[in-house]
Amino acid sequence: MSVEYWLRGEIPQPLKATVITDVKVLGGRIKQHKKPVILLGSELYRLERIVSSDIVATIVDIANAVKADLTTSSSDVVQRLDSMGFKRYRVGFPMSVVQKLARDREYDLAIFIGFQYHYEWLLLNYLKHYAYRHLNTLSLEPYGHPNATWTMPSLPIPLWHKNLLALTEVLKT
Amino acid sequence: MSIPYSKFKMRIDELKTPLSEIRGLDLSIGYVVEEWEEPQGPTPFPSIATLRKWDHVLLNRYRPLYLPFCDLCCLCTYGKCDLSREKRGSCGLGLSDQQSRLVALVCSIGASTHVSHARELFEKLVERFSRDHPIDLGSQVRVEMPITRLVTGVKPRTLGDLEIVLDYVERQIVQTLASVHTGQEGSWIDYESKVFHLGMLDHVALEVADALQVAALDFPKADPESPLVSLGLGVVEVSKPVILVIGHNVIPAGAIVDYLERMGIRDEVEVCGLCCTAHDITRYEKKRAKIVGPMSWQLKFIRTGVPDVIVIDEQCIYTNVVEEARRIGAVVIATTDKACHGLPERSSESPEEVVEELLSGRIPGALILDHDKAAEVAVKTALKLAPTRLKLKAQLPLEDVVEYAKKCTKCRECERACPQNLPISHAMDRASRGDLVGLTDIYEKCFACNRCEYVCPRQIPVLNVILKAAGEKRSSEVFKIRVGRGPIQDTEIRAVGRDIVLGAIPGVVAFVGCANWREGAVDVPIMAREFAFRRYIVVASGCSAMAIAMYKNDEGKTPYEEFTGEFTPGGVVNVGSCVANSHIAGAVIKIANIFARLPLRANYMEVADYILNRIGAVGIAWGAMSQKAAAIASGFWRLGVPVIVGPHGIKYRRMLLGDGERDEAWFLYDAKTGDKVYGGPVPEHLFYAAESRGEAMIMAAKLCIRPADTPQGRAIKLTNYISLYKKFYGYDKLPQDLHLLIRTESDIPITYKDEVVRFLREVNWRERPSISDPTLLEEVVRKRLKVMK
Repeated sequence: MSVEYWLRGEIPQPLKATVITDVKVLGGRIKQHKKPVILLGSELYRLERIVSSDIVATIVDIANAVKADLTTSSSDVVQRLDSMGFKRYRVGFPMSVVQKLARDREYDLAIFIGFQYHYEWLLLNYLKHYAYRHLNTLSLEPYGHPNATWTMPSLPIPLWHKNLLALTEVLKT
Repeated sequence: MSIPYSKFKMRIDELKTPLSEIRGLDLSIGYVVEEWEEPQGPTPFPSIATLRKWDHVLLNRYRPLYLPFCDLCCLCTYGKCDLSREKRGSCGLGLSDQQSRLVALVCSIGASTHVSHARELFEKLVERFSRDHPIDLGSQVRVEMPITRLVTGVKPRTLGDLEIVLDYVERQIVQTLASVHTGQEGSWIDYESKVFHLGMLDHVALEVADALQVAALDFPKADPESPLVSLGLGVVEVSKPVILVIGHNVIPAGAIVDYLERMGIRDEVEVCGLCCTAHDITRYEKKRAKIVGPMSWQLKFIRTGVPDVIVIDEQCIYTNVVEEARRIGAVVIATTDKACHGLPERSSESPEEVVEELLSGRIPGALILDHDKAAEVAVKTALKLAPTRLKLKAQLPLEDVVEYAKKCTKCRECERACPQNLPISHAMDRASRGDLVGLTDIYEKCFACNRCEYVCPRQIPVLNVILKAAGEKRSSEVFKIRVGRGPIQDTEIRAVGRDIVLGAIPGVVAFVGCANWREGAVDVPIMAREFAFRRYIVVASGCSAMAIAMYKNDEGKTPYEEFTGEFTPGGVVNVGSCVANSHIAGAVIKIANIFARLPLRANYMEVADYILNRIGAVGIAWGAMSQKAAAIASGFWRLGVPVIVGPHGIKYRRMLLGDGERDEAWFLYDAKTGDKVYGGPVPEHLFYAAESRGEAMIMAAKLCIRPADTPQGRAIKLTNYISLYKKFYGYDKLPQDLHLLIRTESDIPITYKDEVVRFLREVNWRERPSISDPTLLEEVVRKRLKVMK
């Protein structure tokens, strides 16, 4: 399963994401970028419920390690970022965020996590075609995403969670 | 004008000539439509390019943000062509053009489906009631069929008058669809203009279809107190023979009810419906017919084994329905040549012969194009079949759920096939230990597409397992819905028009469209209640109107029992089925006509410009799924009404987004002076896919803001926008685009004055004058200036 994209009905596109199975390589890719932004979806809580872990806190660790901004439209995530005292975030609706990512060239890497699969699939495809000159994209989902530049593999969620924690450690070093 | 029409009509009572003797001859040449008092407007029967200028004005402001569902084109034998990034296909088309082209194709499908439905209703109802049957939509509806008047310039008085309208729509759809052929249109903006054209045509078709059935079949006529009827999986009496009707065309279902009444056995048989036929059979019968639920409840209900006979008409039918019926020992009767489902035709056989064939199992169902005969066969078959099927109405014992769950290897193939990406494996794991909560949670969000079952390597009947685990929940689904009322009364428009235009009523929020909801049906009533409590006018149609019923407050009341059915602030108005969406568009048009006295007749651009700039209306198609939904949305865009879709709606290939930071896009004319002035980014978007319910609600409040709002109106709208934002994101927060929406200090909501003023100082906000007479059209400026001189 691991190097396959998630959806069974996936039609191969001409430009497909590179699946990165090694968290060290993944960490290296992130570190290559100077201005990363992390987009947190409103479905992060579903993953948290399955792994019984605070993934928002893990993302904050990643953001701190690579000095990334966060953006989210999830009220739950906003409340938790506030409670953690994390300031470097914006409330942003995903459509407007990707519109700005393509237009403003403020960031060079957009990292996605916690979105509905198909919703992220299409946001990534917009960026793939209309923002590729200045922006790379990375999916940190447990589901391999073909329209990103790089994606984590499709994995059982507990295994994915282990990799996410390992990635955090790689980025901290 | 794309269809000329003539007023030549002659009747000869008696004519004797050397060659012949003629009596009672009616002769008409061309179309005959009675004239009306209003002078002809500038754009009767618009063809593709007639309103192109208006479309380009909109599209230069609301530009597509493309979300390609496929990076290839495979429509001709040049291909497949790789269109990724800046490549073009062999025919020269780029990725953006191709997405807009596909949207045009999708909307052609949607519009032709509606006009085909309207045509079939027209032919059947004219045959039954005559061409001269009057179009009476209620004593309080003088401006009947506002869309038809606005688009074509025709004021139909009788059913026969609708023929010219249908002919026009059909011709235009064919013309527009031709543009999708390889080597025709080559620009995204003109494809999008064609999308708008198709949407406008679709709205005309919707209006014709619903006017036909309201006028001829005596549906509720703009009645805010139409009756309450039962809705839900738990409302059907399983001890009786059950006939399930599915689809959108009410005529076969109506024939069943009529037959039962004629035989005096109406109380002996349950007639229940799914999707829009369900809406319309309750509009027809107004009392006993029941609504099972929206379209995605099809397999949820069929798999219970309850229906004995399934009668299908057209649109949104689960296309494997014959096989599903066979599994439960039921039979299918198809009633239209658009959806034959491989069934043998039995239109010419006697009903008794067909019933015998069905009962013997020699055929799984029949295609019967004579609706009265189909009704007789359905009833007779149900009466005989039901007693033999009682055992089949109780499926899958609960202990089997646990046993099946134990077979699950957690390979997650079901999840990879699930359009909702639901955590089925995890739920199965819990169920294997006797905990069914996970499966019950999934039931809420599952729309029973059955893709999970097709891929399960252990052949677990996954959908059945989910349905059985939620059995108690299913049987407790008993709700009340107000029968679709049809049009909005002119008097209701008069009462609210002024306050809507000035902004004192914060907006009209319309919940429309299909049942492809990410979180199940519950999001829709939650949103509807929130806006009703905030004194918006809430209107609903189709599957969304059903979803609103599927919620009970602390007192056990559904929103239809909790709120008034009047078109008034705090009302929750069910207009009816998909085709009744025309009454929502019709209501905003009537505000321009009745309140603002804008001429209606063939005056599309001026009215749409008025709506865009003054009438705070927004559609929320939270579960939009179909091509028809795309066409309906397109009709609203051209009319100046923004539409928000749920997360699955992102698959419509592109959004139409404004950009608040692109100042030049938000300049318009002050019609009083002719000056070009900044009007602010309102409404900000024309088509928007929200990720979550909270985002949709905040966006809906924002998209009700209009350039012409009075300071008091703008303050009321901003109060709702800010308070919804705070409700979801915290009471210490403010929307970060407020400075773009506040024109002068008078716009600032009193409730939030101090913090808003602080925010405005931080962002160096400067006042910009508000405009009382905004327009995007030079023609309107010229007209106003001429009047002033």
